[in-house]
Amino acid sequence: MIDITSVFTIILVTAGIFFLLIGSIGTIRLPDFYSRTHATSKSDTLGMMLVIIGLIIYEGFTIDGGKLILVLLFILLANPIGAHALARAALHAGLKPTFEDHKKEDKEG
Amino acid sequence: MDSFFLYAAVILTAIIAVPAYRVVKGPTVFDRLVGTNAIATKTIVLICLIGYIFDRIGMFIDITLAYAILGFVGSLTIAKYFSSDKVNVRFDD
Amino acid sequence: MKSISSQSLIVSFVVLMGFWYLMSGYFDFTHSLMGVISVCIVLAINYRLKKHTYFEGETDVIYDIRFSYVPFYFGWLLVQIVISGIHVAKILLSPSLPIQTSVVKFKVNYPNPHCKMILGNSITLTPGTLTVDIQGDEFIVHAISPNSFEGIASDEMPRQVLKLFTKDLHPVVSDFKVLQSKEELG
Repeated sequence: MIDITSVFTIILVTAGIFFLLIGSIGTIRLPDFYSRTHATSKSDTLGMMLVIIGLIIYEGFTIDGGKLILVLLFILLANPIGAHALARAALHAGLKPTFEDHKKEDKEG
Repeated sequence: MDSFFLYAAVILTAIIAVPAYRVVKGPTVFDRLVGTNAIATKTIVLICLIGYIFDRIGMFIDITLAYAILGFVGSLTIAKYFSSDKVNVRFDD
Repeated sequence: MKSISSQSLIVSFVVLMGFWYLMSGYFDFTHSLMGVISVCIVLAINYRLKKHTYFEGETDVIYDIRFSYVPFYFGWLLVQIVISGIHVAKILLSPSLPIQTSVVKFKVNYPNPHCKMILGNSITLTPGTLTVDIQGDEFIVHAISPNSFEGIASDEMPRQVLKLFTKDLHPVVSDFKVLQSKEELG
């Protein structure tokens, strides 16, 4: 018998896995390092958030649900900081972002 | 419900394998690091799902927390290492 | 050495105690006593760490946070996260891959450094922008499409962060400029 919490869990986990898939595709399709960091930081954060919220709804108000909320808060804090630290390290090491599109525009205009 | 979590975990495993291409291919060391970071963050979700498949979420959630914290500290340490002046990273433009 | 308010210590104690109860799951007297002892040891070890001054002008800001505004801020941030996820998905699923990267530099004017930390995190989570570096008051932000840094240029997002700490608003962003070539990055 499928009840209403299971339906919410299935919807949220499926949506979360879709956004995690987007993050994976982003690391393959995007052309340079800084754009890839965009894909991993934003899509992965949203995807993990949705999956874990779905699991919290499935779990309900228990100690494990509280721990899942803790994991969620930690991810929300840690994922942008990790992306920022990597981008900052790349900038300090001398990896420059691409500016090709602007140059093309200048030639056309 | 158990079978749903099982299918979700299987699909997630396939998704985790995708950034491994970026880790192998490169071209710079930072691209590899983004790949490993993406794998590490998705593994957190995978461990949670495995906990529900085995009905032992009380044990697996602690593993998840420890894994998340260790992964975060490791990624920060590597970033700190590469941003120091004494380390020279060469890029083949 | 900076001064630590007693309120800060009490908040730390309550948060760590809540963490202990969440991790152990037992609420009886013996476990609570063990929790109090553990939390006291952690606070004693971290006391010197909390007292240490990491940068100039660092103060204890717990009095300045407007706690009534915090839920609104997190609601706004949550909406931004969802919008940015859909934004990235839209870009990646279109076959032509319509990205046009650019780098933006601007200066901020904030009462304390914690604002800069919160703004940096918020920029990374909002659509199409990524904080690359913070040097003093200067932010370097990488944007994936030209219209994604409008929220920063129009001062909307930095004001949301400023509202966390003070009621009277003032313009935050100054010296906003879009970099055109690799040489300007320095």
